[in-house]
Amino acid sequence: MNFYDLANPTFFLNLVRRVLPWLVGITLILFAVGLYLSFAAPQDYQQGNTVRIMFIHVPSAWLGMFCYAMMAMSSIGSLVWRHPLADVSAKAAAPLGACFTFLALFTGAVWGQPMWGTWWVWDARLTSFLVLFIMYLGIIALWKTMDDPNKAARPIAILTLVGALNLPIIKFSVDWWNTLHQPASVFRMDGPTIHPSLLTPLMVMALAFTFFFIMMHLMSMRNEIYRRRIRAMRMRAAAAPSARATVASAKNA
Amino acid sequence: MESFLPDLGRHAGFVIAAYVVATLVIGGIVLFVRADQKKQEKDLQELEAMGLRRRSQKKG
Repeated sequence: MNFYDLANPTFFLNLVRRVLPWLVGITLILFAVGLYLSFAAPQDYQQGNTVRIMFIHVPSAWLGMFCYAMMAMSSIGSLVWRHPLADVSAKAAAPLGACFTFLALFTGAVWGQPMWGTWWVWDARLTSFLVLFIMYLGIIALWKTMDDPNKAARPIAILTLVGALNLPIIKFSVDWWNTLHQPASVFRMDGPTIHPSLLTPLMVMALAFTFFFIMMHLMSMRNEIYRRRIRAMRMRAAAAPSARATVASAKNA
Repeated sequence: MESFLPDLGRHAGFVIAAYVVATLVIGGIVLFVRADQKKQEKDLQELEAMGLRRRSQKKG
């Protein structure tokens, strides 16, 4: 199997059929273990039990950004190589990314209220993350606005790439500006600053979220391939008089 | 029997709200994608039952 094999949607669908049961199993196990560890973990000495919100807030935020980075790479694949599955991938990922970003914003708000005394502040990290959510909504709206997915792919890929400029802003916002949001505490040059008793459940939940995303992304891509096949078949039927008659008679029957 | 859930203290409402909404969002994604899959498969089967084929299936 190579990169070019994956360009064939039928090959891709067969691959998804084989891989999906494994992904479902791994995801369920990771969520079960992750949730157990999340509630078995000790309280934080400062934050108390609210630290358990971190086990879903941080993976959601990572996935919100990871998903957009993947959409940006798919957009490059769409613009540069015209890979047939690249815009399918980008389109399928957008609603998933929007859900994870929403979840990160929501869990951030319910974590912020008891710890900071406020649901929301217009600091650089929170605002840039809200911009990411709005970008997702805009991209989803654009996909829905244009009937022909092949024509929509190119302008949306360009817009997605422009929006990708927001990713380093989100990542480094806590270093570049004074923010209420804390700086990075996991991916640091000098290692994580979180105690292993809290870091372990966080990493297991992050893996669970990642596998869940991969699983849902593959399923959404499969749906999108079906949707495009249906569209192509309907258009061919509309263009061919004999087929149109077959469709009409079948509808009347 | 001792409850699996620890005592979440005075901020229990915030922790529970976060996990409930996460469950709803994750469950919602699964339901939406599965419903979409069923719809697409049904539409595809209907078109194939009408004798329509994809271009790559022409000779099949």
